[in-house]
Amino acid sequence: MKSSSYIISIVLVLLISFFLSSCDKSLLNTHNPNQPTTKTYWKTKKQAIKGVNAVYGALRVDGSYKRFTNTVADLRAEDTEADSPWNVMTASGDFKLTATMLPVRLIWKAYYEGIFRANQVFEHVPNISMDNTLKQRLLGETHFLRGFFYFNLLKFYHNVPLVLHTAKGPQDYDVPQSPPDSVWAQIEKDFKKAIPALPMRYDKANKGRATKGAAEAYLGKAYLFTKKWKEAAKEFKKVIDSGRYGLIKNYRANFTSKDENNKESIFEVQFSKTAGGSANCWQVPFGSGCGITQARSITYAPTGFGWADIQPTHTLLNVFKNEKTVNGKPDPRLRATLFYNYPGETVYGVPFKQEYSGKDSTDVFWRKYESDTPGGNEFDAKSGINIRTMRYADVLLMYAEAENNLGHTATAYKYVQKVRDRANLPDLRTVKPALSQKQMQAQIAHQRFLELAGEGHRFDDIVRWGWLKNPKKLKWLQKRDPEFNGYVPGHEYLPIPQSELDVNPKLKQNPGY
Amino acid sequence: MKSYVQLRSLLLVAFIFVFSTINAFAQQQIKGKVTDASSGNPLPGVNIKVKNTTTGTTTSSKGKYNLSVSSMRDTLVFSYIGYKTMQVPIRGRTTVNVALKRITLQGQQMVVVGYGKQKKQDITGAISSVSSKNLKNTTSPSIGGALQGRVAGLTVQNSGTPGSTPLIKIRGPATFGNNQPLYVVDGVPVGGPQDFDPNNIQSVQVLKDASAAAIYGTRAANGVILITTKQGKKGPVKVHYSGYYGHENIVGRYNMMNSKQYQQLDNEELKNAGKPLAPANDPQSSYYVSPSKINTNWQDAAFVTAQTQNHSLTISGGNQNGHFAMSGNYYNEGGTLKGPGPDFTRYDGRVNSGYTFGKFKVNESMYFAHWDKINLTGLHLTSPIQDILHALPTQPIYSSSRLGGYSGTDANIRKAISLNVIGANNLLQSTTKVNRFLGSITGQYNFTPHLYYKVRYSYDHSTVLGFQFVPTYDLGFFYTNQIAKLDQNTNVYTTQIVQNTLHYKQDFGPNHIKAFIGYTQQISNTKTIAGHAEGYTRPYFKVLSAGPKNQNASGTRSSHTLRSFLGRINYNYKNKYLVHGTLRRDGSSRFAPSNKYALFPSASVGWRISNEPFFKGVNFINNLKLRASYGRLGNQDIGNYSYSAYINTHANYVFGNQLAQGATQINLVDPNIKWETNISRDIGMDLGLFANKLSLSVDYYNNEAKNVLVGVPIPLSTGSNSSPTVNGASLLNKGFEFKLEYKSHAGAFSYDLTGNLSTLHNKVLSLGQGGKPIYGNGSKTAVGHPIGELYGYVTNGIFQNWNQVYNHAYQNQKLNSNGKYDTSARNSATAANFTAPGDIRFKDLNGDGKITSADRTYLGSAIPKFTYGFNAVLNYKQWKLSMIFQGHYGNKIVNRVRQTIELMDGYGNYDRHVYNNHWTPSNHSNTVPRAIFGDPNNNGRTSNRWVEDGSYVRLQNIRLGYSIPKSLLNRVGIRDLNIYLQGQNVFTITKYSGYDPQVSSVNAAVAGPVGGGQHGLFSRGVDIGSYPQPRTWTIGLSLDI
Repeated sequence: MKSSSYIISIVLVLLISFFLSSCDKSLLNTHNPNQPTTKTYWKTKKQAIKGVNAVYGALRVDGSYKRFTNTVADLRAEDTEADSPWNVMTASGDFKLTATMLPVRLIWKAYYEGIFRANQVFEHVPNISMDNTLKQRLLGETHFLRGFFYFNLLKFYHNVPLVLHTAKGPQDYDVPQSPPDSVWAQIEKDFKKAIPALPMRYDKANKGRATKGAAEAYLGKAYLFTKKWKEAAKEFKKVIDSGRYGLIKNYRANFTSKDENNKESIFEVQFSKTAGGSANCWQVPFGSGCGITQARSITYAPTGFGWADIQPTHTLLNVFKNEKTVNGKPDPRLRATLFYNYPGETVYGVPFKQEYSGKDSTDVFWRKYESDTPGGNEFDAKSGINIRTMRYADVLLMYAEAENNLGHTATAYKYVQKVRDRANLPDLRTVKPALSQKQMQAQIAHQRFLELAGEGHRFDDIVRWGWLKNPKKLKWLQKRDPEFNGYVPGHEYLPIPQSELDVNPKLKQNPGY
Repeated sequence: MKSYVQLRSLLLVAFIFVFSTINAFAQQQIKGKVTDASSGNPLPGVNIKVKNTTTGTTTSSKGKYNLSVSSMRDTLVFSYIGYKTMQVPIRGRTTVNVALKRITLQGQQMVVVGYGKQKKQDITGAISSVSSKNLKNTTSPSIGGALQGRVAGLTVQNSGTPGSTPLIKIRGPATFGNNQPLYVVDGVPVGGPQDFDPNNIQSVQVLKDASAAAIYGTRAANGVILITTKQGKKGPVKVHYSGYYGHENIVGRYNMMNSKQYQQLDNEELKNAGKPLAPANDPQSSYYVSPSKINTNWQDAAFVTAQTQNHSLTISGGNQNGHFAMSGNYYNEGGTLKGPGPDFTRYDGRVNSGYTFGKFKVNESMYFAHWDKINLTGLHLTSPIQDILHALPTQPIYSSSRLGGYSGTDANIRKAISLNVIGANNLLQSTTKVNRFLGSITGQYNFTPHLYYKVRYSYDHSTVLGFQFVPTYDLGFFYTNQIAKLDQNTNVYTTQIVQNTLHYKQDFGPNHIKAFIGYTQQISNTKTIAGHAEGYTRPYFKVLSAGPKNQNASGTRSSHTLRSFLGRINYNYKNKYLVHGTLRRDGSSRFAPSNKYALFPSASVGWRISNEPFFKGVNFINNLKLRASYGRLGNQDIGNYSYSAYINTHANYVFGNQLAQGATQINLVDPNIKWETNISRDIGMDLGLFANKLSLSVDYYNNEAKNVLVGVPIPLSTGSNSSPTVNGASLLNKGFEFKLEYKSHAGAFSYDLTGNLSTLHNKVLSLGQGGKPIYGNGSKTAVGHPIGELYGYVTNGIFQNWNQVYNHAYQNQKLNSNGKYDTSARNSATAANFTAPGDIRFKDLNGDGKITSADRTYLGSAIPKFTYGFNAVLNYKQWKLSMIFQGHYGNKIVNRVRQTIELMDGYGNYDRHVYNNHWTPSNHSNTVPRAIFGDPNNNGRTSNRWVEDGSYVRLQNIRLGYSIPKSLLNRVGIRDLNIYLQGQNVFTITKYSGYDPQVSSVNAAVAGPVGGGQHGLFSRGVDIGSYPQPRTWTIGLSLDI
């Protein structure tokens, strides 16, 4: 009796323990139920499309066109200045960005993230069995984007590592800087590969993807930056002759959400207030709730309607004021570009005088890329206005510049005038006949200053025209924008981010830092 | 009552005992005297009870007693703290004199170890014990507070935010990830202890070396803290109440500028930079704010007195067959910041009971806790502390014209971005509610007196409910919100563990053997659900469904499993030679299939020299033991699934104004990651002198962590959004630990003095790919240096004139187009916006004529050379005074708060010290630079200017208690009544200028999840404005019936 209860007890206890601790072999083989692994991905057409969409995704983050690519590019030129309590803004303006400052790191990060994604596409998409035309188009878009990313990196940092493959292990992490020439060569190569693969236009659902025209315009621009005038002119002419593009009547519509992807637009970064989630996601832009909106509008918006970190200079206002139409009226682009104190001016529906009364009423604010909705403001930091990175007007002026440099000043007259005509300005051939090549160059520079104000091109122009190396020109710039007093040779480029130098011993800091 | 009863009837009886009156029958008188067996001195206050009754008394000051008994066949029970309890049958005598023997603690004490208990004398590993007797001397709301200063080698970092998780480290940082030790409560490994009521703790054991901890191989690399909760004991039902009430205050203050000084300095900054003045500070402007009208002292306005209270009630009892203990506890701590939060309330209850049915024993333990936490709310990622200091004195607190009713700065007029912390804290609503259930049931079957089997199943379930509501408000420039939003989330964490162990114990003559083997497995699951909605309008209905816009939901799941085989053997010969070995094989789901399993062995030996025959003559040494241990500990504390590369499916874009889904890999990973191992070595000695009046423990430890899992930063040019976790480092932690205790008594005065001290030498032995350093926030972790060593520039006074500026290495002097110093511009407004007189001169350490990042150097270690604690318990008759001092020595802190408030480069408010002492053409300071907007010379860069000595000694706790004489209490049926006054964080002696030298590197604004907050390990010596610990005064009482 005693021994049987003993045995029963043992059996009972063992049964319980086995029940509770099943020796299931698969116990330790857990699988992530939240997201696919790279091993199972890159197999279908749909995945190829999503992979390429993700490359575009790098255009809408804080370091790219959501904010800092715009602010840093604009602030360094003489059309803008910063009177901001945030030192990052003032430092962008007066050439004092240091290697540890946020924009320096984020711009670098944004474009290399895009390059990483593009390289993934090149490594995986060719192996996917799918419709070949679509596959070639997707690869073409990716070539365009990689070229575009390196273009921006080169503009900002000048000396950058050329990464064309994804890192397979630690041995691939540290890439040294390549000479700028070889990066330019890669940019040309990417754009050239994109051109034949890309269509002229897309259906409505695909509006915003890179077109053949975009690739040609950027290839032309790359030639312009490297002073290959003939090649540049050829590419711009292709864009012009395509008949696909033209100047729209209402200049202001280029900077609102009303007339996006219009016939003047050659490439624009897409934002939307309605698509995607509602979170701002500054730091980690790839969660499920993240919106696809830009913060340029709040950063540039007038005091009371946004942060006004970035304001137009009075130089811009005054140059504009001197530009009169054929009827002697102010250049219509002035009021589309700026808020300033003139009779009847309203800011988001509020009379300018009322909003800024008593205060220095000579204040100037950006209107370009601001919604200016009566009763509204930009304080949610979520604007859906697309950022136009390449407009047809820019192509016309660049073509004029290339032709002028080739000695074809007459051609330059013609194309500069196309841009002037839209603003209803008198014929340059009449008001300023017989300009020399040099004088025409000055006219082009002047027209670019007004037409493209606050669009991130001015400082690129200043650098490529060599104005910073010309003491006379530098003095002139300092007068137009005292922020240029802070310019130090070398600071036309940003420093390499300190965090990057810290981890990649093969990198060298840019000269001047 | 003799035979066993059901638990329920036992409880019923318990209540009857408590609430019924005690019957008196015809009585016999017994008297006698109680003395100390060794000295013969009378013992006052000895408890005397008639066995199995509630009748009892205590001895008088002369050791005498009188007692009525109902039968001359009864047995008397004599008990006295520090003495062996004696049972003396009356056997018809009327005078019963008794001599009590002192307990020689060493040798008797049982110590809880992993999966069992051991005699203290047989311990060969490094274990520190804190008993309830010690814990009772102070009152602390958290386990961290309870252990602070008591255990050599254990450091505690507390934030002053109520309900925050204390960060406990044992023997230095052994890994780069989570450095928290493993907590094991009543045999069940659990996540962080922050919702655990210290009132329930019977004892705490801190396992510090591999010999002690390797049995928990998996997560033992950071040490193990074993917590044993109070169990019912055989005897009558006891009711215990304890409670306290107190006030808390933040005592330190920075001395900030007033309105007038603020305006002067701000104007000076702008004038120096050639910029227009802010209209509010410009006497010429119509927007000028007169400093006589508004002069807000933000620290005084923001810091308020908070209240704290705790009440706990325990009922316990038992008989031969069973025991139980039930307790309920309420704890509340208010925040010291004006507004609804931070605030923390905890309700918890615990039931422990056990029962024996012949050879079968069953135990259960159930714990339920609910916490209600109002979080500290901050805006824009900065620390609220910095915002309070930086706020403009010319700004009022309230403003009826702004939405929400709190003032803000105006972009046009004041220009400053300045957060009204009081406004933000009142307007934003953020709460966390946690419900936790932790239950375990243990069955034990004794096959023979030598062999038993134990199975334990535990279930730990936490539901964390987060709620965040942001109304529409206007707090001025930069801080406006026009869309009211609600975020709600529910996170559910469950852990199930099954532990099977078979234990064996037998003596063969002088050979004593004890062993066990076991098998355990664990499944942990996490589920998160989050909802978001916005566009709420007043009156607010703060539920997700009421949000008209952007309603969206998200959620994740993850699981983690562990399987372990373990065993231990203890052998001792003649209680002199001790051998101990453990082995554990762990498998974890966190690693790739080929790397899932790892083996964690340990061995230790001990020699009790004092038990050797040749030691017989040495009378003053009553205990001498040498011990040594060696073993491997493991760590797998990385995220789940980190060995796989994933596709992020939210890399979206927009085409045609419609969402275009994007998916791509955004992070690089290392698929070969495996276990971290920590090789632990320890040599120790325990010494007891003069009948253990004086005892000393010394340990030397030397731990080497290998294959440490670390997210080694890789270049951004790879495109990876995060650093891949790799087995990329090895670390050394070594040092000495001392514990010295002296206890004695002289008449009615007794005292117990304990000191502990531990040294820590931390060094990184290897790091990442090719030893590349890891940079923190003003720190650098590099091979050959301690983790997070402070790193920055070295200052060398201030430029007093232009010649000095132009004779110094290039900082940011104005250059001409040839790249040479543009000396012609001196004294111009332009030149002032470059390096100029009044700026700090930084040392050109590499001598290349330029101040670059290469001129940074090490500025001191954030790790103290040694940490120490000192406890004193003094008893005189009914009075008891206890004190705990604790401190750090030899560490440095980067005071980033001071960095913010001494910059003089923007529109914020600054420290009065820099206002008084900064460089001006007429005041040639050599320490505080000039005030200039934009700081063109980057005077504020991380340099030795911000590095301060972090050494301190703090009176952590002082308590004066009085126990009401038993003679008074017995008449009303009370066994024990103590009242006390206690102070916590009473004073600190330090050179550190911030609020609190006990810097918590956890960002005060970030609420941590269950199981540990964020660890700023690489920047642990950086004070970014962690919320300071308050000074607390409480009065309390404890009552036993």
